Amino acid sequence: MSSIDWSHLPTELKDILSSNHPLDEIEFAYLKKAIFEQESGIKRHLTEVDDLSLQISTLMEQKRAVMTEIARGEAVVIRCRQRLGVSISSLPPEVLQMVFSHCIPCALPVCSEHASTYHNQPPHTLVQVCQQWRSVALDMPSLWTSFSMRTFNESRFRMPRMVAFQQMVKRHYGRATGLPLSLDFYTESGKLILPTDLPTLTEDDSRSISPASAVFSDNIELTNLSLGSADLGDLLCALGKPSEWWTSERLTTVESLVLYSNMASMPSERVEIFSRKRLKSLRRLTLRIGYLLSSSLLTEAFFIPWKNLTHVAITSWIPYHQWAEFFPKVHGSGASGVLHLGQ
Amino acid sequence: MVLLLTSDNEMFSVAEDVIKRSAYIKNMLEDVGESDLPIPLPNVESNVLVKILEYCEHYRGEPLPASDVDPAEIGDRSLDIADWDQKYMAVDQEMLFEIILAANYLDIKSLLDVGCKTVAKMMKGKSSEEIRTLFNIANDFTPEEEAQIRKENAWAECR
Repeated sequence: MSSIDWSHLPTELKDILSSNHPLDEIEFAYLKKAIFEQESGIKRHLTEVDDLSLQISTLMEQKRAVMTEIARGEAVVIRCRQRLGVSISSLPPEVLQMVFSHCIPCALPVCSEHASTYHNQPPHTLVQVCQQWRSVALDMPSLWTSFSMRTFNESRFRMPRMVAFQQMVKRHYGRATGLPLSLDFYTESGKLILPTDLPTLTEDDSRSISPASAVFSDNIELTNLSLGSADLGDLLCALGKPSEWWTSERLTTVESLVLYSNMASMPSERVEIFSRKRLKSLRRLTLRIGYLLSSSLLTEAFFIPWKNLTHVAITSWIPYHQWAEFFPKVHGSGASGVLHLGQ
Repeated sequence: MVLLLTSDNEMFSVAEDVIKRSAYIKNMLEDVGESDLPIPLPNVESNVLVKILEYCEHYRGEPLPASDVDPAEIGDRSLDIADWDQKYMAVDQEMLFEIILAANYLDIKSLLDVGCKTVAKMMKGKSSEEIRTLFNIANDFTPEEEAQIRKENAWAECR
């Protein structure tokens, strides 16, 4: 009781509240009246609190609206400043073209990229940024001359729409109007030309279509072809076997052929892949093969038209882990993890 | 010495062998001959010219590239950038694009190439949306264009 501040109360009430003697009738009535007056006051104050809460709520809402306006204004100011300042949008198309040309890798990383990332890689990303970039990138045939595809036996990647993928590849090459086309195709299995190849890549109705068919279609005339697989022997045998969509005509425009592989086993039968009919335009041949390459593979198993060729490069290499095993104190070259022994 | 007048009216006196890395200035000096009059650079501000001159000074004495050879055309499409060039290009985006624009205007091919490589490197591994965010580019595609892009990516969509 003593902690309550009664200084504001009338003297009579203070006296009654601070004493312990029995109440007389006057005091009783006085207290009743005091209760009524205090309760009325409390009710009035509560109403005032409600009014104030409502006002606060309204003001908070107004504050939020004003803050939103401020944020909008600030965003506009920032964007205006960005547009006023020098940005990538200030670059003229010819400079943007130079930037774009640097976005396309000159050498595709071997066995590292899945087809599933095409739409997240240049040049495909470039045409999805804004109108200006799309226009500039579509006006650069050189961005679209190369296509790379990697497929793996244990791939978890599924290609749900093979027909759309084929259309994408055709559209890609179609944008390289008039320029020589290049394809880099690595398939771990080496059986790239069989319709049943890479079944893990396809689903349902498109299961029977090989992704290779997308890049070897009728309308695509390849000039530079780069094929890789785990075993060169498998790869060459696969090249030698026609299938329902794979015929020798597919290779007639190829002038440069690169074959790369970890190893090269001897095929069980002699395979003719480099004949004038199949590769009648072939002038440059590059073999990048693992350390098991045997000369008999080139001289006995396959007919290589040496006289037709103007350039031949045979690169033998060993995996980095073997190099490290042989020469533990010598660190090998570069990020690729492959040491080149000779050209 | 060659006098250069920037767009914000600052005068720079530069050694001829330094500024001749700019094919634009080099040609102008060859065409006009010696003159006491400053060469106006209406597209270059003084803070940008300071950076440009830093580059030219660093490569002073090194042979000039053939004027008609584009580095991109001779197969130099790797994104390798020399250490000094990387440090030189470690500037905010606005200055980076100012340098590129100035290198283009002044026709300093090697600097333009380094600038373009730097931008390409910044974009490496990024999706179109990430590139927009990186460079504050507005997505201005019309609904029809958006539909076309979706159609082009249809092969990658899940059923």
